[in-house]
Amino acid sequence: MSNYFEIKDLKINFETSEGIKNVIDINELNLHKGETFGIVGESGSGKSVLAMSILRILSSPPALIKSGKIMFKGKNLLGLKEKEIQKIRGKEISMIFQDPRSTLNPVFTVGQQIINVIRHNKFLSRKEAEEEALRMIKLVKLPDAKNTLHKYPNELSGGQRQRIIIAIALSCGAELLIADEPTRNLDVTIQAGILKLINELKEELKITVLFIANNVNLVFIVSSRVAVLYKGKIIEIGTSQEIKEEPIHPYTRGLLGIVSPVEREIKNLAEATLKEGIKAENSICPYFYECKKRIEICKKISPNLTKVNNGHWVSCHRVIDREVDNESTSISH
Amino acid sequence: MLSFITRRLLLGILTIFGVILITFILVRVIPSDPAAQWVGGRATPKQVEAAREELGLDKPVYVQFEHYIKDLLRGNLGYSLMTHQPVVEELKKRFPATLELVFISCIIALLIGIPLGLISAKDKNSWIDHFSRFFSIGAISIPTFWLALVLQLIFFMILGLLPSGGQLSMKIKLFQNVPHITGFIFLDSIITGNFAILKDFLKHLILPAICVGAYTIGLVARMTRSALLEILSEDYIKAARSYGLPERLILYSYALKNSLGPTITAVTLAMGYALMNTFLVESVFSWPGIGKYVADAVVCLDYPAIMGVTILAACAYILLNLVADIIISLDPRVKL
Amino acid sequence: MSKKSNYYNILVKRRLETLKEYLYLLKQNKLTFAALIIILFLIIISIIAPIIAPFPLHIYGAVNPQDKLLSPSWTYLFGTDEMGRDLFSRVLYGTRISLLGSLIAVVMGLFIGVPLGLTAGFYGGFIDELVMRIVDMFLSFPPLLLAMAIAAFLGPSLQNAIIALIISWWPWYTRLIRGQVVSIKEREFVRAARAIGSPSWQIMYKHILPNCISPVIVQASMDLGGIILTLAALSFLGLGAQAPIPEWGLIVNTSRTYFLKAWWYGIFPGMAIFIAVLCFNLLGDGLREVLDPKTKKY
Repeated sequence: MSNYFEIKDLKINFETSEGIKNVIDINELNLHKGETFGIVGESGSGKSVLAMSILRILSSPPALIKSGKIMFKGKNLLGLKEKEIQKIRGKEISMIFQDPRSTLNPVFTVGQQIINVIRHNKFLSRKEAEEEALRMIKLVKLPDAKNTLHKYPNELSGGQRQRIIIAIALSCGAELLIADEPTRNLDVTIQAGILKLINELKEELKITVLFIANNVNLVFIVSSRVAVLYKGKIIEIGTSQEIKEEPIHPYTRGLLGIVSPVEREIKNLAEATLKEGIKAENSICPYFYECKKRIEICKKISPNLTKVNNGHWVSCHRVIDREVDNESTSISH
Repeated sequence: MLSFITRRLLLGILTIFGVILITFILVRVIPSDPAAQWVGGRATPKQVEAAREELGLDKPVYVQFEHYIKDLLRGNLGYSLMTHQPVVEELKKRFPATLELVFISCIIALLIGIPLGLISAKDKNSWIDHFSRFFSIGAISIPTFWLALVLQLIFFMILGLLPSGGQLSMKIKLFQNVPHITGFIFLDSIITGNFAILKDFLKHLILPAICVGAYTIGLVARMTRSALLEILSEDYIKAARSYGLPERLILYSYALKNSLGPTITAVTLAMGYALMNTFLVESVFSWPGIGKYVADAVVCLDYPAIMGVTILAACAYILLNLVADIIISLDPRVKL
Repeated sequence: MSKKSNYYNILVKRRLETLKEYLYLLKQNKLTFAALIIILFLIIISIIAPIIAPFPLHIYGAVNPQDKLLSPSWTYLFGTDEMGRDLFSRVLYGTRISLLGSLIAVVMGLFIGVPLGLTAGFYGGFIDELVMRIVDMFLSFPPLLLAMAIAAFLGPSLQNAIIALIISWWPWYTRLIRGQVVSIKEREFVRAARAIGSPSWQIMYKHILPNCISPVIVQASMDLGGIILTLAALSFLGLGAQAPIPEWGLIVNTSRTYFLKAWWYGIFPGMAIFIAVLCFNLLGDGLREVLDPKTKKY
């Protein structure tokens, strides 16, 4: 496993009117260079918080990064000073957001906005920056590039705006793109276009993409590997194919719409976990209250991510036998 | 764009007409008799009758209104009962002094208020934020006329640093030729390079300016702060940060440009209130403007004068709002 | 227990809970809370002023010429005025006038403005246009100007000043509530009420009004500070309370004549105005912070 991008023991808390809530609690998450990695989660699972914490653009009250490391090419992003992280933003890691309406500044033309970013990151002259901007707009397959530069965001459609945003994000040579639900506020037909664009750009520019969404099917289309985020914790992680075909965690199965009539306890992974001496830090599984398959141990120990087979990890005490309908042998550890 | 301006202008004129109507109605409501006022307390009934005829008060209401409108269009606001001079002349004489006071006060207020609001929003919840918020609310709560008295007390009576009133000291008025090019002492003294007069003028200006501007500073600081806070929490600011744009650029270019709309509104509102404050402040400092004029008029119940000032002030206010609307319409988001 | 009284019990309980929540949130902002305490203190003073004033007879009359224009002392905490009256007692009583007068102005302004705005927003069309044009006309004046003109023409007195304030302030509430009504009018429950044939007035007052009254109440409480200030300003100009009413603004005005001899005269009533207005504004500000839709953006 490469050390291109790695999140270790990340804990983020939030100050709310009801006290301090833990929003992200991720033990380990790795990205390989050049892949598209998807993160699925429902609203409130902490996806956006995770995304924004990478580039450190979270508002510090109310969010508080309690501990952990985000390693990118050997540097801990969370430990960098403001000036240093600014050098990374836009130039090495870039981000696109969910609402194209509100992500563009309404009182500047889109051309001004791209050119601003290019000039500040690459120190080009005005003319050179303008040429570069035109190149980027053509790259995101927007017609009539020259005129588009002079338009204000409210004169463009949602899909067009999102393309501009992608152009801005990639204009300065970023090699890691964080896409935080980029198609959520778009029509289904436009969605397909944007996803296709992201895939094409990934091939063309050789970038790594972290794709975050709440629609699990979307994530499968774009990503090679997927992690499922639930209440700030990763509960399942594996290749798209694995998870699509053999989802194990009850929540994942719920997401995919799979309902199994009969369950069988296969192996008590918790004991094995304890034996290996891996710490189970929290005292209860995050999915406990909604889980229909919970057992005693789920109330006492939060399961860690445990390997099921090559590239497929789950955090669940009960491994659901997917082939229970066929009554075949269990998936064992 | 032009159609927008003409539309707003027409609306403005309509509003002014409404203002005139209201003021006219008000005059009809007076319990006291303007004719009797005109001739004074010791007139005979015959003299009062004669005055009534002269002032046209014996004609039916609609005729009076017609005369009133005609007079207004000709620029005739009647005669000031106090001075027996045409109201228009009195206003012309005194308006520049008030205009100068309001203008300079507002400029100072903006120079203090906007940065205060900016710093407040930038470092939200810091000690400077709490201080400036308290200061702003204090500024809009303080009774202007009381502030005037307190300042006069401290700086004139106790410290003897500043004069108690007037625009220029007696010495200057008697021994110097005060230039009269624009009618504004501040500009005239700068144009002619007469810095003695300028210095004297500023010494007289500073206390009234603080009083007139206090409310404005508070208002502008608060509105700037709230506008900026709202903008700084917007998604496009977050996005701009994520592209690596420096914080300085984000604040002074991106955020500020977005806040122009609400700020302009705040400024015009503030100028309107500053004008109102002159009514309360000018008589304390014997500043020869329309504020003092109307304060005196109120005491003697000089209705033509009061009406004249009301119409003038209302027109000024409407004009300010029109200017603000035009500036706001320059915002690309506003669809005309 | 009948169904109706049960329903009201639940309503009352819920209202109390929201009230408790607001108080809790308000408490967090210490400045706002302090302002609230001082306002309660002022309200108490305004009620018991004649009782606690050391020289109750001085409030209106009882000329005491031998003690005129004395500087503050232990007997006369704020000094005396030109008629020998105790300024402390007068200022205490003035609390009642300022608070009560402003309250009347606001409440009457609401009584006029809210139904007008409801009607205009609900019926729309010609009535709406007419009312809003009139409102715009009134709103084109800054409040002090309008109040000044009206008070001048009605004749200077405390009552007329309050009437002038009512006339100057009602348009703000009409505009505010009309805007709310227009957006609520299209909602489902209104359509449902119409469908079952509820009479218009019932729809307006039982269905629409409760849903849009809160911003108006917030605005009104924030206006209280400004109204107290304007009332004092009117009296200062000579358009409001007349002698011997111990209104704060009037006392400050009277003090100007004796400025050189008795500099302390106008300081205390003016300070009282300042404190009262400051506290109301702080409270209003804190209220607004609390009630703002809390979009927790991170």
